[in-house]
Amino acid sequence: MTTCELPLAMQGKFSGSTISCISPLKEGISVPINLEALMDYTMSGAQFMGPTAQFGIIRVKLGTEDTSLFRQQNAEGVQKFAEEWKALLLDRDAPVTAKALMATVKPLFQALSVYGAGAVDLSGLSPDSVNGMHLAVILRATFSRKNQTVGWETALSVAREALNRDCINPDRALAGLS
Amino acid sequence: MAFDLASRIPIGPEDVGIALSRGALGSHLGVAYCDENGNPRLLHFAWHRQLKVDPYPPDNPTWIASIMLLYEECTSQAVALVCGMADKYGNKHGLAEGIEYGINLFVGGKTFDLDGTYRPSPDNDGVTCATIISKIFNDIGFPLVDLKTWKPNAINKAWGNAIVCMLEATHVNPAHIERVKMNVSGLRLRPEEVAAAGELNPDDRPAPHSIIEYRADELLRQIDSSCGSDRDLPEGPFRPCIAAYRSAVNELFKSRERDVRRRIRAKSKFRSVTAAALKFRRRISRWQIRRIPWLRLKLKYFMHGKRNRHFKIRIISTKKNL
Repeated sequence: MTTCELPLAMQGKFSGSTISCISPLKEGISVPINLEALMDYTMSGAQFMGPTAQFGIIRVKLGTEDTSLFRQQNAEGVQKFAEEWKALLLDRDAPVTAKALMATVKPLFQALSVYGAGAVDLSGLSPDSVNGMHLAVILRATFSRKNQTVGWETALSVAREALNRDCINPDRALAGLS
Repeated sequence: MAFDLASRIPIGPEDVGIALSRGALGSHLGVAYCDENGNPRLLHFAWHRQLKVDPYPPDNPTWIASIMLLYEECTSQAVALVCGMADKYGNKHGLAEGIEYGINLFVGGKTFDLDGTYRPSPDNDGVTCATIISKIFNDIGFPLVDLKTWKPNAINKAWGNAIVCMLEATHVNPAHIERVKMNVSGLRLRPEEVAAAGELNPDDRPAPHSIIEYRADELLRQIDSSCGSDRDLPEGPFRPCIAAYRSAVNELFKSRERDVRRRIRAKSKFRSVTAAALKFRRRISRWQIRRIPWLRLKLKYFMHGKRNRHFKIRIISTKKNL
């Protein structure tokens, strides 16, 4: 089984260089694999698993230095998407129709597609400044990756408070998330 | 709201609808919503790497639909998220990132990666039209069905074999077909089951199989009654697969019927034996019952036996002993 710790889009960022992968079959030996070549060889994520069997389990080595390097390199892009999906989130009086919520969801999905779960940071939100419904939809969009989303649990209680403030039943608006 | 012809169920900008149609092997499922321009759309997984976004109501008059029951506070969230998913994955026909057709029921959780990209784990073979919608709603916190309560059966196994046949007929990657073959287990989330779950009150979801089973069968019959039954085999590469599936299902239904008849015969024989036992009981006086403790015991069983078949049989053995 392949356990790449980076999303595919993120791996593309490193395509110029050769990334070191660990093969448990050859313990202690780091087998260099050019992921770009591997990606070209494969057609889809599903088939991505095929050729990796030749190398055994591959784990992209990404220490904290690499991650922070990645964040630094992509800070601009992440920030750009964050500005879009936070625009209505930080507007208490923003409309909460489906169309308005789409304006929050779309850039959020794009950020997730391009930069992975780490691109969404929900820490540091204040119940006084956020729109409860927009935060609720962000929480739903990241629900399946809540463990990888920074500040998800805290944001859930922030959303609860914000919804209460706006006289919206938080148990219903956040149903299924706790 | 009850299911009706899709043309009679308008989808508003704050509505999520569940649409059901006749499929090659039973039924087919889609989710209806309004896109950001206010146009009603239907998101449905038509086949391998064909997650389609079509106009709603579809031109094909074989669709029935209903508005999905959600809390008022949740409907706009659900519409926005379904629309976002449709934009992300829909209409990528044949492209590498298109979603694969597969039948494994329990590994759906590993279908999409942390970044939301479709990347199934090695033991996952993809999704069906029903599992993808169940998965979408599950991932955004609206679980529809409790898959732990699903049980395998022979008809679903025949369906699994038919899917393998259809994948082969459309020349899908052999490695993928092998993965699907390994997952033919008789477990299946049927489209009409997801549709039945969508009709339930949000408090009653995720629904166990026993709750929606009957309604799901009703919905299948409703497709036939609303859209007309379709007995003819379609032309094209799927024809032999569908023919094999129908004959397998017919055979299974016949064997089920034989079982039921056998049971009815056994029951009628049992009734005649019970009548004889009742006659025998009338002959035994109270004195006899008191004098023979083991007989009393047996008769006591017999009294229970008026309500319980198991004990009724025991009195017959008492009669033999006498």
